[in-house]
Amino acid sequence: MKEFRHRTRPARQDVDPDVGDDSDGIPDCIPEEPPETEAPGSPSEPGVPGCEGEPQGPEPSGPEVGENPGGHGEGGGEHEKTLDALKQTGQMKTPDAPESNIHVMSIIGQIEGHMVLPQQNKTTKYEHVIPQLVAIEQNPKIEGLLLILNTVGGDVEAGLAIAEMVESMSKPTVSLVLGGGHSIGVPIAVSSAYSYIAYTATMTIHPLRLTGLVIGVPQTYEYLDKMQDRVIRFITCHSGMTDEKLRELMFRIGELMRDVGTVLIGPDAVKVGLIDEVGGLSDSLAKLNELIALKREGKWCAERAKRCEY
Amino acid sequence: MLLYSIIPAEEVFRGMEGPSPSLVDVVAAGVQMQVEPTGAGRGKIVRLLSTDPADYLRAELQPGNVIGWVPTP
Repeated sequence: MKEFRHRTRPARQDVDPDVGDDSDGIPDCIPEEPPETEAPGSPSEPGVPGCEGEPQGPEPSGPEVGENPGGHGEGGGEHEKTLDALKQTGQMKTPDAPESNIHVMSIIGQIEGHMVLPQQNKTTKYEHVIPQLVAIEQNPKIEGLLLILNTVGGDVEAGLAIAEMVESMSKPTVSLVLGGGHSIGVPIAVSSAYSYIAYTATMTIHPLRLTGLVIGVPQTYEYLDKMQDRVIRFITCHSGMTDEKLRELMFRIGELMRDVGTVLIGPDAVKVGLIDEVGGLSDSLAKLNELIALKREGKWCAERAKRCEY
Repeated sequence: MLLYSIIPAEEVFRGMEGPSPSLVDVVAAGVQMQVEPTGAGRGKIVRLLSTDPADYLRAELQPGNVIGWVPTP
């Protein structure tokens, strides 16, 4: 049954800059300049012998480069440094762990918004997460971001803020929903370039509710509707779900005890088009390395949601 | 502020009426931050107030870590 497979974006692997046909309305991927020519702010390490700090130059060799964090040629460089240190100081330099070109961010517990929640809640502080995302976007050594989610939801605005930030990054991002990706965790999960869900992970789709901080007058329904529309629009723009299907799941009666809504477990989330694939850690890392390699070759660039008619 | 979560609101906000920790703004490790003091010159980091994004990636400055600073006289 494929009729709900209404994707508003093409699968990433099919993007080919040689195909000049723009009839689908989505702009062609602009191949990136090789890193050496565009480095206004990158760290001044190309002169370091041992090439550990060397930017990934014009000779990327496909996925294997991504799988070896720390860059190619690192083995020879480390040996040189160790020998040098031994000669000069008589001491072995303990090898540093190779710097990873992938950063991982975990979104856990409640996503804390404008209010500090009491101690018993585990929270994700968005005021820390967002500058981290800026740093990851800026740092030329970091090539990709793995987002790990196990969240029960939280503040709508903080959650959407994180989701929009991840969505607007130019670097490859892959999200992995483990355990749970409920409520406002859904937009965050679909904001990355590619999303995975573990087989046993769950995502609860349910409507927004009043929390006692919004007064109850007749206009409150329209306000809630508007807030809900924000979330729905984001989810439908960044996943293969249609508006109708999402609303149908959101307002289904009989599944949740205290609420209306639906619980999607692992493969269910993929079937309805919300998440791209069922997978785990190795799958998401492999995908991230694949996207990083494609980006280095200029065959992948982050697609923005501008094609969605807001 | 809307809480969009599967945890019911009364569970999330339990303990809200209790004493809230006193926070101080200090400069520690060269970075401006808010800490919850646990002793003279030592405290638990609550959040960073730096404008340098690289500071937010430093492992020793993550919220929850204990850090020491020189108290200003």
